[in-house]
Amino acid sequence: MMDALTGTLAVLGALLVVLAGVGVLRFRDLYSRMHAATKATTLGFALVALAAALAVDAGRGKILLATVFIFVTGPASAHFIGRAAYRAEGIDVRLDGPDDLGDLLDGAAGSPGE
Amino acid sequence: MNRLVRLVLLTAIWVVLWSEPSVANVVGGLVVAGVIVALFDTWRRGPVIVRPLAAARFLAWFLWKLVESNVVVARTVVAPRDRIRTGIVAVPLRGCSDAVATLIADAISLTPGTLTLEVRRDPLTLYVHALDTRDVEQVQRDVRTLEVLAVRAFGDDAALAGLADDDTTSWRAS
Repeated sequence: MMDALTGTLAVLGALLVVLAGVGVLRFRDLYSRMHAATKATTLGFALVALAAALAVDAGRGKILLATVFIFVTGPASAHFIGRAAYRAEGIDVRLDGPDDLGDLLDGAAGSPGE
Repeated sequence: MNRLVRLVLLTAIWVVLWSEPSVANVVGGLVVAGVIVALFDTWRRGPVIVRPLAAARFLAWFLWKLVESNVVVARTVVAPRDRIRTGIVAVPLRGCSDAVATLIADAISLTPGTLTLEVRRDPLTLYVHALDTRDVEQVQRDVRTLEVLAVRAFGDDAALAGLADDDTTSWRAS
């Protein structure tokens, strides 16, 4: 019974990570790709970690701690990749809709503290 | 007091990482935690507030959204792309502390179709990349729901009062 549960969690988590990989390949611009990479890997990791925590006899605390760190650092690194990509040249960050950030940066062009 | 809490928390993490609450591990953890607390004093601004019930609600809502967000991404990966209309939307927040703003920005990146790209002060504004901006107001409403939940759980009284002024969220307040 326990094996079935851990197995299901592990496979589900792995599936999400695979889907994230497919998403990174299929989406056409950096931000869409990051949507796939950030969310699916976070929950995917959490599910695999949960399965591992149920399966092992010792070291559960470490696994759960790692999960907490993934949840804290994942979005933060995504934030900084996205922030840097917007300002870098030669990266495909095309948008279909509104671009409030572009309006903000255009308005503040030339001002220090960027 | 704030420092003491951080010292205990960091020591606890250290001990968990070593798997064993031996005397050597606790002492080692205290030393490392002490150095970190002394060197990095960035969290000094404002007291740490946690309202357990509201925090539980925030956590439950967040976990639910995380699952939903994975379903959305999975569907978008598999299905045709006509649902996508990407864009960057500015969402003003109503003056919460740095810590709460960080929490909101992090949670946005893990909820469906949105990703935080930039945070600005004066006025506090989040720039959010959304997969679907056919309804910009919907994107803003989603972020504000998150803000309301986060401020209720961890915000100070001033931030809570700020929420009450806003019409778009008052229906959720009762």
